[in-house]
Amino acid sequence: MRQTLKTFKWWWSWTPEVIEDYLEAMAMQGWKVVKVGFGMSVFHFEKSQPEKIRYCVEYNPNVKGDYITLLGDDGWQLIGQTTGWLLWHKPYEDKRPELFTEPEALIERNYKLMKLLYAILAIQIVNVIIQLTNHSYMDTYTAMDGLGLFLLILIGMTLLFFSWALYKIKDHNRRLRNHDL
Amino acid sequence: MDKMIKKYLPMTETAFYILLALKEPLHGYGIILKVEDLTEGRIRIGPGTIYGTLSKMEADGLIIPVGQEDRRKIYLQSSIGSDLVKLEVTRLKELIKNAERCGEK
Repeated sequence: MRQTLKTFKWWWSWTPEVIEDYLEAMAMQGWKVVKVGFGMSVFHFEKSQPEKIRYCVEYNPNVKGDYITLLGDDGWQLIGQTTGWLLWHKPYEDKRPELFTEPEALIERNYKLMKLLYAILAIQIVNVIIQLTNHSYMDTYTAMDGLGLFLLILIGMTLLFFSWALYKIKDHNRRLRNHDL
Repeated sequence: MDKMIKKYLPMTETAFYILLALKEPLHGYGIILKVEDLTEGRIRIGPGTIYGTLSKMEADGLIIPVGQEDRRKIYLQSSIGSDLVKLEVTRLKELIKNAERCGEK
């Protein structure tokens, strides 16, 4: 009977090393990730021999066949993909391998993510405007019934969250560009 | 051409070696191995970086696909690519010359 383990670990798109280092540390103890899920934050492990394995996560929503072939030639295998995120791994001995050796590709990936966030942010702003104008025919104070106020706060909070995420990704790009990681 | 000079010069080490390696037809993994060999193991370009750079260079006409092996596209320098390498070599030679003039050996 195989020993298995399932864990949940949260991370942000601008700190992929959190998950990469975590999976590498698990592999050193013999726990190898075999399946990923839920936006790359749920990991299924199986117990085997401890091994040095480099893991890389990347955001690549339309991965192509020739890309998988090229990475395979260099010893990288895909473990799984979920919501545009891919998890690659490659066993190694001395020098820790990298999927990307220049920051350009990561900067471009971040731009793709930012576009997505900007789109969501725009929808949220439209949402807020609709919420406000829906009540505009009434006095502002009475219009804010419990549910309306709750929705507005909820939307406001997601708005703040997406703005914060955009700021963090921008900052990540700045650090990538200045080789300041 | 002026636009390409502006975009690619001075070249990153990675771009320079990829373009240089494509003096002979090679696919992505072939480039990784050739550059590793040329630099005696100092530079091992990541496959993700190779893929992105090749796509960009192909779109800009610096390299041309000349064949296919399974799902591996084989590339070769174009004349624009070759001109850019020459310009970069001239620039690098100037760096060395000036360093020597200032007493570096």
